[in-house]
Amino acid sequence: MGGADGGQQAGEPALVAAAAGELNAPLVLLRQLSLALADQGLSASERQRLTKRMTLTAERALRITRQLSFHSDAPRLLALEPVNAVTLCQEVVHELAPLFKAHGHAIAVQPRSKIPLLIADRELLRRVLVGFGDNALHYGSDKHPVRLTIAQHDNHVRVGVRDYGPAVPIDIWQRLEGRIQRRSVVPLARRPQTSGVGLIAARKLTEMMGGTIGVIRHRDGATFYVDMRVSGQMSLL
Amino acid sequence: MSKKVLVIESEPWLGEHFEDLLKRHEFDVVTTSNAYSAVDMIDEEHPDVIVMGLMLSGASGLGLLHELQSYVDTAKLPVIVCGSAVGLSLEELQPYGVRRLLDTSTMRPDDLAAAVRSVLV
Repeated sequence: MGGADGGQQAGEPALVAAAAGELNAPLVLLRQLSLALADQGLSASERQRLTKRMTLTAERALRITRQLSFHSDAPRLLALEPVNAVTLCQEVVHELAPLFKAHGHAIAVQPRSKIPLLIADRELLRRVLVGFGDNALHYGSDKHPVRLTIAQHDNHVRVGVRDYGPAVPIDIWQRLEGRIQRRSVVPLARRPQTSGVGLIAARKLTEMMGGTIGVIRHRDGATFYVDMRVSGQMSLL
Repeated sequence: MSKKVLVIESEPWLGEHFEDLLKRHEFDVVTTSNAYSAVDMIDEEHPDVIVMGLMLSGASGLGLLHELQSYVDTAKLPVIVCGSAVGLSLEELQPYGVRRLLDTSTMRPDDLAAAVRSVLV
């Protein structure tokens, strides 16, 4: 990313471009859904379905704008504290579940116990994870729900969002596997609906909290994750 | 016999909307959201026209277009690209078999069926 100043100068236009690109998708969908709603021949249930989709799509666009405002306000808002990753992930699932359900998909927390508290600004980390979840929306199903995973690695806690995209054919994957830097920092997987905003903002916000973000490619999807420092609070008990 | 359209759109609700629009004009429509399954569906469904976005899951839309151009039986398949802020002109996309470029930020509901009809002539 270059030096801090250079990275910042290079990062802001990229963020603006990514924001424009990312807001474009829900706005296009909203426009098309509203045009469809104007059709006089629709039944009451079709109108209800379209209206619900418009609401969920607008909420998705609003999450992007909220992420942008967090990105710009974060320096003065930052409040680091010990955070329970499991309950935080449950909140993320609670926020995103209606959108996933409306798409016929599911999102869930992979249950884990004995995970230490991590250090983060709770609301900022929640926004980062919601962004990852939003990006995973079209990469799951009711058979393979998008999963929020939590694990401890040495002195940090890794919170990931595992999704299930179309599986790369095994022969192609075997050829690619050796060449792919499997644990590189994003942006790595530029996907439809994925944001640039999510990833650029997430990286900046996470780094401000002393963490890092990354992505692991799987043959049938990806895991976007944050690594956050473990809180020393529990060790005092 | 109605003509068959394959819609490839990564945003499922938008793909479903396109499908509804085309069915109203009595096209036979099949839909998918990713490039890998699109290749299978082209083999199985033998569509007369493809309507697609360029941002797809699996492989990119351009990758898929390039793939289609590689085979004699699919190289002549007319393609309509639907997108917004695509950043590419129709002239740039024509070598990939693209016959129409629809801007989803300005297109009206009947534009899609009109575009499909125009490439079938």
